[in-house]
Amino acid sequence: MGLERTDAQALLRDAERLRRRARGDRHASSVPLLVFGALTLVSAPMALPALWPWGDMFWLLAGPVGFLATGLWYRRQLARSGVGAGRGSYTVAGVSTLLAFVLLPLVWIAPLPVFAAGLLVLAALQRNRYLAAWAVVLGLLGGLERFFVLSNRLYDLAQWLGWSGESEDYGLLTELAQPIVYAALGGLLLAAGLVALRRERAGR
Amino acid sequence: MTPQRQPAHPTTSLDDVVHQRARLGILTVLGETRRVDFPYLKSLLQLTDGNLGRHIEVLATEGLVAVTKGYEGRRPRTWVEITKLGRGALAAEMAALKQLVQRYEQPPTRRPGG
Repeated sequence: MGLERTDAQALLRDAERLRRRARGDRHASSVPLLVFGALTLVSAPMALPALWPWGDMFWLLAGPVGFLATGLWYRRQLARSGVGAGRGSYTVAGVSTLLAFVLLPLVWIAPLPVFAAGLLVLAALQRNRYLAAWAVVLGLLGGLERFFVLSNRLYDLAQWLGWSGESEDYGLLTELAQPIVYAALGGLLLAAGLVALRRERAGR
Repeated sequence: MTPQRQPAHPTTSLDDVVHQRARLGILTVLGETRRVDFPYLKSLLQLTDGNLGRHIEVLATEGLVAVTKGYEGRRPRTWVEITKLGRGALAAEMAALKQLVQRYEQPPTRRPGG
């Protein structure tokens, strides 16, 4: 078969262009990242016990809603444009929603790692490295913060900046540290979702 | 001294069914999305109904894609889905193409005594 290098290169380029376009059309990365980014951001004020005493309850409802919203979006996209995230994606979204309810105690202990695991399965089914990387970030940082690892770093920072003084009185920071961390994590996911959305639109 | 066996040229791994530009495009899109409907493929690959239908038929005959016809509400829809065999054929074709490009990019090796 007399195949020239330029032919092979053109075929590979063409394949990459089609792959990018199809990936963009199904919005596979941007939607779950924007949904979970928004939910994480909304969860930030819930971490203020004075404002919202039932803060822990938030993820029990928000997690399944997040997966349901993602699954419904994929379904709508498949019906509207004829391209979806694959049948497996709806299954994962549905199964994750159900599991989230079944694994209620685990969701209670560490909600973000549980939902990050759901996103990771979704990413694996889609062979979507971008979504997988952000699912790991969400699971890891969310898991660490469940044990106040990140908010404790904020106290370290406050001490280093000399805000706490000798008395180690962190004032408002005592209340706000965890909401700040969740808001930052939500903002990070939203930014990653917007970057994905821009890439998806550029691929068209 | 027995002559050293040369590795097979990458073009020997190219499959005529998959290698055709439009069919490779169909498999590439399905490899990414798993399942799409007929009009989406038609607009993305800029093919006519007849042309796309023929290419899909060739791929379906080889068991590389599966075609499902159904209704969504009152609207008839034709879905095309990649099979496991199709996924393998696509991966083999892409690997062969990449190998071919790499082979051309490598500087020619000098023959012993040449």
